[in-house]
Amino acid sequence: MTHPYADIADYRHWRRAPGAAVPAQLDPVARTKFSISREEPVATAGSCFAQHVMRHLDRNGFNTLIAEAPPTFFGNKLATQFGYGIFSTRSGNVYTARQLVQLFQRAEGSFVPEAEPWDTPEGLLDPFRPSVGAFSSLAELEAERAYHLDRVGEMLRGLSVFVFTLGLTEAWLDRDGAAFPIAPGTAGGTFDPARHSFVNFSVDEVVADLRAALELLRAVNPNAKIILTVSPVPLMATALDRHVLVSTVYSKSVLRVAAETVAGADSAVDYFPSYEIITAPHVRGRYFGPDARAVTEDGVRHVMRVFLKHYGGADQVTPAKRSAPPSQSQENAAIAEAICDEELLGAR
Amino acid sequence: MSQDITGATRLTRFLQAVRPRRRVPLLVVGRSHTRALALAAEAEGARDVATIIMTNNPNEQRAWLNPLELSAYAPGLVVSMVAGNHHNRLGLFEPEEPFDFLFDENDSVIPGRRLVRRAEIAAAMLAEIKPATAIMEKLRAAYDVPMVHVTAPPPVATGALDQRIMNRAARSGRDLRLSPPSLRMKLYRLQKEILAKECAALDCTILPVPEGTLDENGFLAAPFQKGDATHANPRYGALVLGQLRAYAADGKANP
Repeated sequence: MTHPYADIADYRHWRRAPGAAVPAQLDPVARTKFSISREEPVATAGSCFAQHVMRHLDRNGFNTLIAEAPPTFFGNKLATQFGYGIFSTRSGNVYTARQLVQLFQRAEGSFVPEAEPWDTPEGLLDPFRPSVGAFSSLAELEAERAYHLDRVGEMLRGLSVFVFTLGLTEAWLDRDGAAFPIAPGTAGGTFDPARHSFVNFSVDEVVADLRAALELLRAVNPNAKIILTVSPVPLMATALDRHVLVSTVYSKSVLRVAAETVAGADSAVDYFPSYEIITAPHVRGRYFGPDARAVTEDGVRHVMRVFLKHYGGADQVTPAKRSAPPSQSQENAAIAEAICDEELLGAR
Repeated sequence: MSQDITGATRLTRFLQAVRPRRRVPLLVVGRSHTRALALAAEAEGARDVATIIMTNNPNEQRAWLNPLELSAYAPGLVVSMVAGNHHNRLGLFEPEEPFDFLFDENDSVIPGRRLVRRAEIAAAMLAEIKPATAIMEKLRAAYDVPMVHVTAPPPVATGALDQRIMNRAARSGRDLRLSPPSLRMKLYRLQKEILAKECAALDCTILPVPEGTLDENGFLAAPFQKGDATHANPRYGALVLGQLRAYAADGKANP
C-alpha cells in the first residue's frame, strides 16, 4: 500500500530524523538555495543573536565584511567596547524589519528622522544606536552619524551575502514613524506618550518592511544573496499586559512566518533555521542559559556548525584564526616609538 | 612583560635599607624626552641631577625600572618624564583613513576626514598611557619625597621628517606623511588632560612647559626644536632643569 509519506526522506520524519536521541545530530536544513565561498563578502545585521553569526563566520575563515572599522589605533578590546566589529557597521542592534528598512533609507538619504539626541548624564545618545555610547556634543553626534550612514551605504554596495537576524515585533515609534531600537526613556531621552507610540508588527507589516529593505539593497547590489534567520532569544520585556512568554511566542511566530513568506517567493533569499535548532524539543532546553533566555555557546556552536556545513561546505572549513599582519597603525606607533628609541642611542 | 609593582617596591625598599645611596636633589626618570635635560645637565657639569632613561623595547632590561638602580639614589625630588609620546603613537603619522576629532565644543574638524568620537580617542590614549602611569606609581611608592611630572614638549608645527624616520619608512616600503599640526596638537592636549587626572591621583605635581618655548600657536618654537617632529633640544632641557631646581627650592611649579 502506498501513501504520500511512504518514501519520504528521513529528515521529513520526526522519528527517523537524527537528533531526538543524540541532540548534536539535529540538522533541520534539507537544502540551501546557494552556497557561500570564502571570498564572498558576508555582511550581518540584526538582533543580539546576529553577533554570534558574525563572530563564528570570522573564526571560520569567511570574508566577513566590516564596512565600519574602528580607528586603526584601537585594540580589539576597545573596539568591541565601542561597538565595532560586532556587525558589519556600527549600527547597534537592529531588532525589527522596520529598523532595517529605515536604516537603509537613512543611508541613501530618503529618510531623515526628526528625533533629537537623547540626553544622559554622560552626554548625548543617538536614539537609533544608543549602544555605541554618549557623544559630547550635537556636532560630534551628527558628524559621526553621517560617517556611519555612509558606511552602511558602503556595506550595501560591497556585500555578496547579507545575513539578517530578525529579533522583535514590538517596537516604539516616533511621531514621524521612526523606529527606535529601545523605548525612549530607557537608556536616555524622555518618553512622551503624546509623541511616542507602541506597535506590535503583524506578519504583513514585517513582510512589507523586509521586502522594502531588500529592494533598497538590490537597487545598489542586484546580485546580493540574503539569508534570513530568527533570533531564538526571548523578549526581555513586553509592552503588552500579558505574560512575556506569550508575547515572545507571538513575536517569534510572526517573524518566522514573515521570513518564510519572503524567502518562499524569492530565489535569492534563504531562510536558515537557527531559531528551530535552539528551541527544538530535541535539545531539551539545554541551549538556554540559567536565565532561560541567553543562548549558550554550545547552542551557538550547533547553529553555526549546521550553517557552515550547508553554506560553506564544512569539510573545507579550516577553523584557523587568521594571523593578521601588523596594522598600519601598529607600524606607525612602532616607528613613532622608534624615533624615541633612536633618540636614546646617544644618551647612554 | 609586566612587573609586580608591589613586589618590586618591596625589593626597592629593602635594598634602600641595606645599601649606601647617593644623595641627589633631582632624580629624573623618563624615556626619550629626558635626553634633552640629560644633555643640558651634562653640558653644565651638573652634580645635582641624576637621570634614569628607559627604552621603549619591553624586551630590554632598561625598559623597566630596576629596583637595584632605584635603590641607588636618595633623591630630594623625584621627577617623572615618562608618558611623553602617546599623542604621537596615536597620530604622528597619517593612518590609512585620516581622522580628526572635536576637542571641545568650539573646535572644528578638517573637512573630508573621518570624525572619531573624542571619548573613543581618549579611551585609546588612556590604554596607551596606563603602562606609563604604572611606572609613575612605582616611583611614587619607592620614595617618600615630593614628585613632579614634567609635561612633554608640545608638537612641532612643521618641519621635515627626521632622516632616520625616512630611512626606516623606506625600509618598510611605507609612504609616511605627518598628520596635520592641528590634529597633533589636539592629541597632545588630550594627553595632557588625561595625565593631569592620573597625576592628581598620585599626588604628583605637574610641571608645565617652560615659558617662552612656544610659538604663537602653542607649538614648540623653532629655537627649542631638536630637528625632528617630536623632541626638544638641550636648550629646552636647560629650561626644564631650571624649573625643576626652582620647584625643589620653593615648591612652585611656575617659577
